[in-house]
Amino acid sequence: MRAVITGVMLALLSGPLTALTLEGRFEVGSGSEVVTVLGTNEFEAIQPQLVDFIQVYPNAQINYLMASSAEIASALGTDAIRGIDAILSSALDLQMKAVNDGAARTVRISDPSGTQWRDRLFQISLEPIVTLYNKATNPALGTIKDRFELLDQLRQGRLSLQRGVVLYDPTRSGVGYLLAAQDAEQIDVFWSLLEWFSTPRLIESCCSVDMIQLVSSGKVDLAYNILESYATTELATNPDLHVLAFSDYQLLVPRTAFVPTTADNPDRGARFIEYLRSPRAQSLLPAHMQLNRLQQQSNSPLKPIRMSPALILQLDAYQKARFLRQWNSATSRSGSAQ
Amino acid sequence: MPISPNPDTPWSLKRRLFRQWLFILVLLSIGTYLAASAIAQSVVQKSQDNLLQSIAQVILDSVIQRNQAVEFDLPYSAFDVLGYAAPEQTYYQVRVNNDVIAGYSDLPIPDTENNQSRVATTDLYLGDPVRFIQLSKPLNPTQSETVFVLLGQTRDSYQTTIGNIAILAASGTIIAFAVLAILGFTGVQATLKPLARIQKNLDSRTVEDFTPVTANAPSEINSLITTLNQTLEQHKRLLEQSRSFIAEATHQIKTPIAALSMESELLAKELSGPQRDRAHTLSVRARYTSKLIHQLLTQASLTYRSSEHIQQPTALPALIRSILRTLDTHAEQKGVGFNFVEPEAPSLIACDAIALREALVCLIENAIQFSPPLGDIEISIHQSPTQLDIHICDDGPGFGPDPERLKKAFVTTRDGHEGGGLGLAIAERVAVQHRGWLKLLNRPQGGGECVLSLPV
Amino acid sequence: MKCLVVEDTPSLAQHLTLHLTQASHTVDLATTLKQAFQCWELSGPQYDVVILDISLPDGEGSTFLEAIRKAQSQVSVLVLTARSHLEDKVHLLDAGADDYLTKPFELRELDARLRVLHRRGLGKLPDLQSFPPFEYDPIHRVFWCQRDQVLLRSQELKLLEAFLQTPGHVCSKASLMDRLYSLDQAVTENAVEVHMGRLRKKLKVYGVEFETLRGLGYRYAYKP
Repeated sequence: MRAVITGVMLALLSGPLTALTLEGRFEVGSGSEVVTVLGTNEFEAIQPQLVDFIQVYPNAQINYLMASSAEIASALGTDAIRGIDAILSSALDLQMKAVNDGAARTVRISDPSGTQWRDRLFQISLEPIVTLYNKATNPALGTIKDRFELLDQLRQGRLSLQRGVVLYDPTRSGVGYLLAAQDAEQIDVFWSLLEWFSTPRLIESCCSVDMIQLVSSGKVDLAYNILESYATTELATNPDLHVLAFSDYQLLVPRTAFVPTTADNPDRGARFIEYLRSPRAQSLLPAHMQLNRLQQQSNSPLKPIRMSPALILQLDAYQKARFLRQWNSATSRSGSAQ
Repeated sequence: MPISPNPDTPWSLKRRLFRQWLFILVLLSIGTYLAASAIAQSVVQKSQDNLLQSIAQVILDSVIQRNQAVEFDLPYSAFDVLGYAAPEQTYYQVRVNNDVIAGYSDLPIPDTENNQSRVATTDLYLGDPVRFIQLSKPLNPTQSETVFVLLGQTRDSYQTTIGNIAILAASGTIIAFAVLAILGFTGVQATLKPLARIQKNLDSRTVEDFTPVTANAPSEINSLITTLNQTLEQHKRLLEQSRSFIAEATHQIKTPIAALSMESELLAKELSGPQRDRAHTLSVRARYTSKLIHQLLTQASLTYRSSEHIQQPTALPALIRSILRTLDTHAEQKGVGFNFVEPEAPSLIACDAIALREALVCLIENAIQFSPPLGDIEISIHQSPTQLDIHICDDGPGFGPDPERLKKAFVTTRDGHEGGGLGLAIAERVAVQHRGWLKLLNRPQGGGECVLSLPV
Repeated sequence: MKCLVVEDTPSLAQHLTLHLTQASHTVDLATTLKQAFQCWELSGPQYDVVILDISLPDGEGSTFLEAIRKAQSQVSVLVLTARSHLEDKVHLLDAGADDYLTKPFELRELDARLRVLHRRGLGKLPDLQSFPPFEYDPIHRVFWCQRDQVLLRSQELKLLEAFLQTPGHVCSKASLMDRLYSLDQAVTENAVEVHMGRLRKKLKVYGVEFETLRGLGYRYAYKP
């Protein structure tokens, strides 16, 4: 991911926002109304929407600053965040805590029908979480319907994951921790499942790309809980790579945005968020991430993570330590880590 | 000029009621709003407190001490419930004595008097009012350490609920009051309507109309109407008494005066020189006095008649011809001629013919009186769809600069020969009784013109 | 003229009788209703005029009036009244009174009324002097047209008589002025013109005209 950032981009990383460690800085448009947006999205992923925004508002100019969600979380409440008009992130728990702790401003969005919390935190897209397997190495995984069946098969020895399973490392990946915690809340068998994943070999990875690469190349049997958007290219090119569609539930992580209280131009920030929620902006997203498309599948097992103050508990140091202790005891059978 | 019953401060019942009701309504609405706010506040506060307390209790219950370490659980699902109940910012803290072991470390710590295990306060945190519930329990039997669970939540949506309830209550009050006010106004309206009818009835009356007022009025007003009718009746009786007194008095006076007049006239014939003149003057004076009495009586009679509302179709030309015949000898003695321009139309009019006859007699006698010898009196009728004008023109001196004054009783600028001074007043009265009017004009070519206008 | 005076007030009755007698009328006086009926019994048809007071000690004068009208008498009745009830006048005229006088009255007025009443009460005599379209009764000084009297004021009567009596029916203004001359009124040419004007108007309906002859006067002309 970091390799994408060009030298030119890095040269732009000076100016008033030096306190923030950026992974990239981009300017779109040349209007007088500057909107400064801080986001976790790759520029390439959000570029179509930024460009289209300038089409809609020709007077606008977007300064898109890219940073990690952890960086954003630590910058909140400091001067480093000053001047930012909108913050976009897929780290829902961090966004939620930021808003709960008063970092967001109440803004009026003309179409408030979509998911939002207290007129402060707004959902702008949904990121499906998928499980990938390699059909070439382990075709039996194609018959699995849900997590219970997976566990059942593993317990009865009818299925083995000899090459191993790769997961986000909850200690290093924010989204990994969020997903694991949600899974633990959703199903009682999560810890058992984790133990069985660990039996032959469990790889804990920091990064989606690496995880996809491992399963795509057949080095592991299963990549559990992966952000689908990172896998689209690989899924399209590798016929052996498949999505294991669980029928019990499929997690979705909402990408959310808010206008910080310290925004220079809160109205412009709000307008940008409003635009991102508009059907026009949604149509520019990859099909599987469009809010309307996903929300219309009412009978699907889709389970978007709700914007709830409970999420802040997951960030509690004591709670997290407890969770990781439990994680470690579940995965200690293999103990392997990458 | 109409005299207001309370000249200092005229006031409207409706306006006063409206003001009072508006005042009460404002007080009542504010009162209801405040009362409902207070009640809703306590109810809603209680429900929020209960919710916070139950979740805090779950956390507190989970606290155990194991191997010198304090362990507890922060239940995701319970917090989720909190989020479902209301989208509020939520803060929590777990501490042992004063050491914060989880959650927000900078929350305002409520005062715990008497080691209460439950404390509820509202405090400012991050600039917003936050409702806090703190539960506590001793960590171990020795009670040296106490564990506190502090749970807080902003109150925006609760406040909105409270506001909605209060507004709902206040609007309920306003609507109920508005209905009552409309009923009240309708009541006042219904009460005032017969009064307005009575007023209209009285306004449309002529001065001497004493027929009783009838109105379909509520019993509260009926006594007023009864009193009014009694007053009317009293006035009528008084008027009749004075009328019959005048009639009796004049009759008793007239006959002797007639004798006196005749005797002086005969005396004048027998005498000569200045004595003859004096006797003649005496007879003229006697006749003048008699004439005045006659007119007084006529007026009294007219007063009586007007309350009877006599309306009979009358052919005006025939009436005028009959009057002219009666007055012909009188006019002949003065050498005054009549020129009655008879209209082609029959000129029928509904009127009190006797009163109208009297009025016309007065006007024509007046014209004869002031006509020069050999003068002509022209009488004509002009009819329009709405009114009928009777013109009586003479060649006399006219009515002077202020004709209106002459309509008053006993006023005459024309140096009277034998006029009683009531003739024009009588004619005016008859005209008014018929809802018409009398106009006195000075003709440009000289002479006077009386126009008696009657509505058709 | 024979008059019946019904009047209860002694002084008034006395003066009336005196005045009428002086004017060479024959007068019977009744002071009560009863006396009035007695007089009527005795010589009813001989009276030319009845002068009737309405308020009598023993009843209403109108009772007498109604009684004689019921008896088909055509005698002229002049009612005297001191009362001023407006209805009375109309009522009396309806009951058959020919005229009324309100007390007190001028004797001059009484005379004029009586004169008119008397003349109106006359019957048409046979063989009257013809003056087309009229016939003239020289005794009573009345002009008739067919069966009706021509109602003229005394001045107008004098003028018409002048034309009747002048050969060729042409009269000069001077001669007419002489005719009109009286002791209490100064007569001017203007007065002649005024009265001629009124006479002209009254006779126009009969087809009679008065032609003005320059320097000569007026000529009576009948154009049927």
